[in-house]
Amino acid sequence: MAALATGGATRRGIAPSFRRAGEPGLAALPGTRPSLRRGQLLLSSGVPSLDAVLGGGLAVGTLLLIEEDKYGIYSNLLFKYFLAEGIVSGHHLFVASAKEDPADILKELPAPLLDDIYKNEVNEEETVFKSKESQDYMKIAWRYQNLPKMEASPAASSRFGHYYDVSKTLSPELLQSTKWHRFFLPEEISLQPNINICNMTSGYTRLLQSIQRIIYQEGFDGSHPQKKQKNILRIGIQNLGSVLWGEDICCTDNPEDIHSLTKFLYILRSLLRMSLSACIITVPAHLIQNKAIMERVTNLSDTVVGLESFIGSERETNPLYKDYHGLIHIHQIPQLNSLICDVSDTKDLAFRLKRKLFTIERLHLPPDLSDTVSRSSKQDLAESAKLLSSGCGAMAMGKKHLDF
Amino acid sequence: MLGELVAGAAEGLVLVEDTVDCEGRSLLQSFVAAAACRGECVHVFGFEVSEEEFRGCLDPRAAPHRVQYHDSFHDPLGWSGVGLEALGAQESWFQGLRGTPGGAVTVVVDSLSWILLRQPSPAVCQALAGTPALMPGSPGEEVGLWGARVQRMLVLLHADLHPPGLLGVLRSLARVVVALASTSQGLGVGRGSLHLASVFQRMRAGKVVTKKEYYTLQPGFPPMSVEEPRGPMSPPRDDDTMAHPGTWLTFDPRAQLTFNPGVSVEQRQVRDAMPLPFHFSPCKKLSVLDQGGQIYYEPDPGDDLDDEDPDDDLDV
Repeated sequence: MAALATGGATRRGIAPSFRRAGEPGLAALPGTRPSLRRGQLLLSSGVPSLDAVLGGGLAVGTLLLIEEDKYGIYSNLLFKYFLAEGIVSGHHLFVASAKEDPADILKELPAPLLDDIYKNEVNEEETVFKSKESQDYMKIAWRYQNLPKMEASPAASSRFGHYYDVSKTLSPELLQSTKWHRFFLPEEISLQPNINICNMTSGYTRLLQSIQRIIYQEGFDGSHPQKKQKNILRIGIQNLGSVLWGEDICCTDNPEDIHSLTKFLYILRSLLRMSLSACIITVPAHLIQNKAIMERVTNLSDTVVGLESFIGSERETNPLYKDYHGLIHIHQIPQLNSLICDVSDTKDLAFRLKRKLFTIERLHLPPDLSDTVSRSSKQDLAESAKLLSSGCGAMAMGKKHLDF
Repeated sequence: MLGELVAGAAEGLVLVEDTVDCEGRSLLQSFVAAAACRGECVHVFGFEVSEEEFRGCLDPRAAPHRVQYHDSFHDPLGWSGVGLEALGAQESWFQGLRGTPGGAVTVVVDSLSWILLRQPSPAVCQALAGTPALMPGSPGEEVGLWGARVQRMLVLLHADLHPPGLLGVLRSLARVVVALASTSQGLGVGRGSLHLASVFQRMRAGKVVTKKEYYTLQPGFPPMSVEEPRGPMSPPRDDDTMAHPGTWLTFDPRAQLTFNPGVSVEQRQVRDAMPLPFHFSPCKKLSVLDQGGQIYYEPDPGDDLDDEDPDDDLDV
């Protein structure tokens, strides 16, 4: 827990009241900030709204597990956001996949909406607004005109967490300036055909060895203080537990080695805890046949977030959900250095992918329709609201309209 | 959509799922014929039918010299080359494809079920996904070892032979899934009858398209014609009516009701014209209010009737 405990609180007022004597606070690392509540070092997941839901961000040394949606579209997006945030913050990356070449994944990372660009966009809106304002000057609001202006967007002020434009890809120059390590399973197998240690699926063994080597050699090891400049290692593992890793938990109820994935996560977590790193893993949870495995995997990870997209489900056409692209379920939030965790106040969260931005919002019911709207459409809405509350999709299907 | 896929829009791993009710080999053969007509090299790894039988169903105009048949039907244990043992591993695909002239290559597996039932499924899936240029996101970009690149991989799968978990895994690997089902109209077997296909395609931009289509296979070339989906694709049925096709149409749920759930237009007009007993219509209102009203009031003993101090009964 070395990395967790050394929350480098540098600013006055945020520092926790209790600190070990003689401990040199961690020099401020790029792209991190101390937690407001526990004094851990946090880093952004790349989606500011997800950070807010998870209690400020991901603590260094923890593991974020994403349960993939059915077609893996949005989980892949979160995965890329996490890596892109690392590149923008100047972190080191470690990308592991059994499906896509890591170089291809990095090529498709979204471009950041950097502060000045974002400000420009905001400013344009403001100037339009001001020109209107000067024409008809509001006398009523004279009392407020000397108050300091509040930032309109949360992105403009903070260096922590950026917004990304999904429609553009990251510039190659930015990509070249970052240091990253790759792990592509088919490639590794062809390099070293036979490894079987630890009684684990060989893909996992290779991956662990690779991560361990990088942590020790590149100086991310928290237990042995390094002399050189410290940095954060962001580890991304795509599609863990799928067949492509040589794992059969997705194919059958009684896999040959039921503990393979859990063993891997156990060792990985101990590696993370000892180092200056954070990890994101996407798991095809809907494909894993034995639900007990998924329970164990949840317990072995720190933060667990499930994605449920509306593609292909009847919710896609439901008027209640027309603003959203899917639901997001926060299954677990870690309890770090304390007995409680930062539970968000609402459980009903949905995500949407606007033209450029991916955001997580509180799921709102649409406003009640006025009386002038015909009764039939209102009834439709009421029915779908009922459907939402019961959570049972099959009910509405069999319902026939009988006219007496 | 199915027509476009056959005409070459399908790239990467294409899964054709059939069941015992609705065979998918003829659809596979129309894919093969279309690919051969485009001038692509087609390698068929056949496990379930002999070469003569497979070629016999192919259209003779579809350039048969471009279709290379790797016969594992007569040699299932791989004693003389390509066979069961070899196809579990990735290298064996290269072995089979050796000597292919440059250009786009279509690999056909007939059928994957045969391999999956005899080989560990993770190895088979890794081999399927690892075949070059089949990685999602980079179709046809990588050039294979001998100047040829695998454009698409057509895989026939008997869906009713495998557990649903394995089917889910294979679908998650595939870029295009065509699931076939028999229709109530398609009573005939083979070419010329009507089948229902649910097509699922993963677009390169990360979008997903699903569609249901009817199709028929015709004896000549072009190999198939797709009928436009008509209205709601299939009548709502549950498992009960699926088991006995035809009963859905004969059973009338209204027969045993004590009331009439359907109202005709005239009946509705008559019903709307009928005043309801509690309805306060204008004529009824007039008849009640025309007599003029009067208020009778008897004062209570506790009433405070003087206007001087309205609060004098307050005990302050």
